[in-house]
Amino acid sequence: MMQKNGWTLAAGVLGLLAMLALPGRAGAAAVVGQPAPPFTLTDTSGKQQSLADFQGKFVVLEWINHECPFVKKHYGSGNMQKLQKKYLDQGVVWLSVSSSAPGKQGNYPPAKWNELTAAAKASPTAVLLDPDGTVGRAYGAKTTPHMYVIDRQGTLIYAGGIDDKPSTDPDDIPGAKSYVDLALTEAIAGQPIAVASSTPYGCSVKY
Amino acid sequence: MRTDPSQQGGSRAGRGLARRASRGTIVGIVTILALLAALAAAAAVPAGATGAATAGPVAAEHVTVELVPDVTHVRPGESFVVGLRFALEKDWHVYWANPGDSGLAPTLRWQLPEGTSAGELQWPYPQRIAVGPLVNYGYEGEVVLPVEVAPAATLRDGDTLRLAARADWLVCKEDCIPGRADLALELPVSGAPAARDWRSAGAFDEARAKLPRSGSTTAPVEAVREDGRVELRISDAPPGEITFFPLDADHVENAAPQRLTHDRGTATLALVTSQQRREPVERLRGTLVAEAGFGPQKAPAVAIDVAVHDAAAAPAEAGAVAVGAAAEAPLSPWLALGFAVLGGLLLNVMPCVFPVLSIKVLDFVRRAGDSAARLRLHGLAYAAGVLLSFWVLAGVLLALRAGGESLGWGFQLQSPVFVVAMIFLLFALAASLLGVFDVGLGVTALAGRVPQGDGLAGSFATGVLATAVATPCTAPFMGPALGYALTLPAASALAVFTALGAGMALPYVVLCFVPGLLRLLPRPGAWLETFKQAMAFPLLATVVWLVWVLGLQAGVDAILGVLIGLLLLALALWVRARFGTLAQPQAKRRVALAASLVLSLAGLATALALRDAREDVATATAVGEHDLYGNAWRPWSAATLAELRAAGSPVFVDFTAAWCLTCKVNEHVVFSSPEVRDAFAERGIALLRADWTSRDDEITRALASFGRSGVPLYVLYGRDDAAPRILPSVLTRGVVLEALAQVDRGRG
Repeated sequence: MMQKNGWTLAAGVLGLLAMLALPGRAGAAAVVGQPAPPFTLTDTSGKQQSLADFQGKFVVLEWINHECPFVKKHYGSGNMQKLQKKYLDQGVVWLSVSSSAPGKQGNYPPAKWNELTAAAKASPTAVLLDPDGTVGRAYGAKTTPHMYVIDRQGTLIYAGGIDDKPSTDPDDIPGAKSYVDLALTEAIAGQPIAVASSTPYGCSVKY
Repeated sequence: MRTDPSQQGGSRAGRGLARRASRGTIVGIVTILALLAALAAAAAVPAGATGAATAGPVAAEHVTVELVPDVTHVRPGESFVVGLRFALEKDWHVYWANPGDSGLAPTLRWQLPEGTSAGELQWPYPQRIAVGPLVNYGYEGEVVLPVEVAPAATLRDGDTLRLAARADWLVCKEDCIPGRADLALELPVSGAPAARDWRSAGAFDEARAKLPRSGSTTAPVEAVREDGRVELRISDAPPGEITFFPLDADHVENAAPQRLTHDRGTATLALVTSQQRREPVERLRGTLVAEAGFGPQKAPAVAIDVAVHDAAAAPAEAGAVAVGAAAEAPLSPWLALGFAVLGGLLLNVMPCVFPVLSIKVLDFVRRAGDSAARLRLHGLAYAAGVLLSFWVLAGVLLALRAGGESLGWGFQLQSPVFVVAMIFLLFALAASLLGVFDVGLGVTALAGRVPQGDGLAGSFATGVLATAVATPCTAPFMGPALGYALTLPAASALAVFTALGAGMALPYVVLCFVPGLLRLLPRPGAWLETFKQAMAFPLLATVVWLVWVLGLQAGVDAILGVLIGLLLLALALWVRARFGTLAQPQAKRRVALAASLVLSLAGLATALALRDAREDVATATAVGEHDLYGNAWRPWSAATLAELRAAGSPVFVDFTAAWCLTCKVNEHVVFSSPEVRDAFAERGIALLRADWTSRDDEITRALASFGRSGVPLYVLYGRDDAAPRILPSVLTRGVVLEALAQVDRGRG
């Protein structure tokens, strides 16, 4: 009995010391040209969505926070919805991901999310909830929006900004080079991606 | 609607508690929660509206924006400087030219009269602003971004020059608000001699001081590509901290620590290459900032633009291991091991280890009659416990640092989760020493009635426990040894940690192997029980201290949480002792043990749930005001230090943390002395305090620049350019007064 307690205590304290690895930083970012980190998240209708389920399709990941002025720029102008529609029609899977932690800006209950999506007239395949930020960190998502494109084999082929005009001004959209649009067009046509990564711009992801 | 995390935690804890609290307690807790909610609501009052297009300041949300002149009037054809001024609400920031991981730099679009032109915005060096796992570069408080304006030569005396511009910016705290304002500035034209506008001269001077100087003569820099890193090698580098702010996004990882080493006048700053980047970094542009200033003019910041070349092409001297700061000679490996053994020995008499140590002494008294072989086994089991714990700690620390974390020794106590766990452990140990319950913990059982031939696990556990509680008491000799260890390859670092553990275990191992020594200890008797119970009080004192540390880290709610948690734990221990003994029927005993377990877990959960997320609120002691003893401490930052140094002021820096007992003792013994206080005041020495109670990467880097990875550290900068003087980790009035006297001589 005493012997057992001693070992339990020792193991407990050692475990405690080892547990210090807990305060995590943004992990290794997903790298273009490498397999995209796998994940399973619950969407706003309560369904489990795994990246693996979409093998054979192009997948877009869009980090989202409706209260962020950069996100408002692309939804308020209809730019994001247009992009979604254009590629959903071509069989692309569009996943909007929220990594806002509980209590932080952009974290809502699923019902509220569905209202927001409807109000924005957005049509993502699903809105995924990542409140503990695991998937956000695995991808190295820094901003909202931060965009990723994954090819049919599950390889990350684009990571970065939605376009080349970092601003909150919707007037900048017509003159901007939409990296996501270009990458998807090139990828679907079987061409190499001209710009496979760029600097993301936006609000910080509210981990 | 945003909700305060502490509030959520509070309601969770409230729910957990409601099950067994009296109605009165519930009413009390509801009142507290309501108060918290009211406070949160009061804090969320929205601010200001957007402005209109007129001359003068424009009040926008969380920031006031204005075009300010550095001159009273314009001379035709003669360039002058105006500035875009942001005055920010507390905790809000605007961004630098490169905003870092998120955000957006402010822009100006000029509408200027014919013949007048304006240059680009100039950028004083920013500060690193951490947002969760991300890092931004920006400004808090007030900043002026200077712009040079070349007025038309055709202007005449008596004209008014109207400068108009549209400013766009993003202001963020954690949430971001874009802002836009049409700004204007009207200046009279006159041929009179140029004169500065005194109203904004101070702000311009500050901005100019922070503008990077260009020209390679101030800091010859070389950039070398290593695996996954770019190393900036700075010749004739100033001592102390150096930080790099990259101008281009996606070249280096913003949030990664910049590891600085000094070696014979050359400073090497290792930058982690951006993970998103696929091509090698060809050029590095940005601003280098040194607290001690570059070159003969002590420029705090220099602009660099260097080509990056491969390590192979670099001069061969790259292999040298750089340790220690300019003021401290590098340690030889054997000396470091020696210091480590000595440091380990000293840990035994440190206040945090003493209670655990006393239990070990009791154990020895008990064992005086054991066989010699048995005793040796116990000694070795204890040593194994100590060593294994040091290896686990060192392993975690090295792994985290390899992963890019900026951590130093004592980092455990920067984690509130760890502090809470230690509070519970020590509280339970104290209860056990007092005899509230005897079954549980092997350590206590050892001191009591363990039959001969048993309890090896207990000896092992004592070793583990002693190490866990010892870590904050960074013994005076451990600072240099651990700083050295962390710059070494993993295997050598582990050797240093092993030496440390060996030093700590040494006295007991010696006792066990030389049984003659044991006979010198007093014989067991009734006094033993009294002594055992008395030893509960140092443990409880440690609990009090840790609760204070937790309060500084996580706020007063966390104290409430941990105290409620301890209440539940006390209840659990009592239930266990009262109803869980062998004298009770088995069924009842089982229920009691289960209830006790559930209660302890509920206690721990409550303590952790009420833990506030604000880990950055910590201040070890009053900073910014006079301390208890009348010394005027200001919070340390690289920028503050650089400013004071540039102004020629001598500076004393106290690197400290609430959980560092050595620091507290030093502060009490030395800074309370009127002679020391007067010496500081007479010589006009600025006092800066770097508080490492919670994680702070900037301070970790500053410590690293002195070859340290833990506190305390005391650094005295003289009036002149000489390298700063590092004072011993154990301060005496004599040592400090003698060092301060040197400062005075330096001036003469």
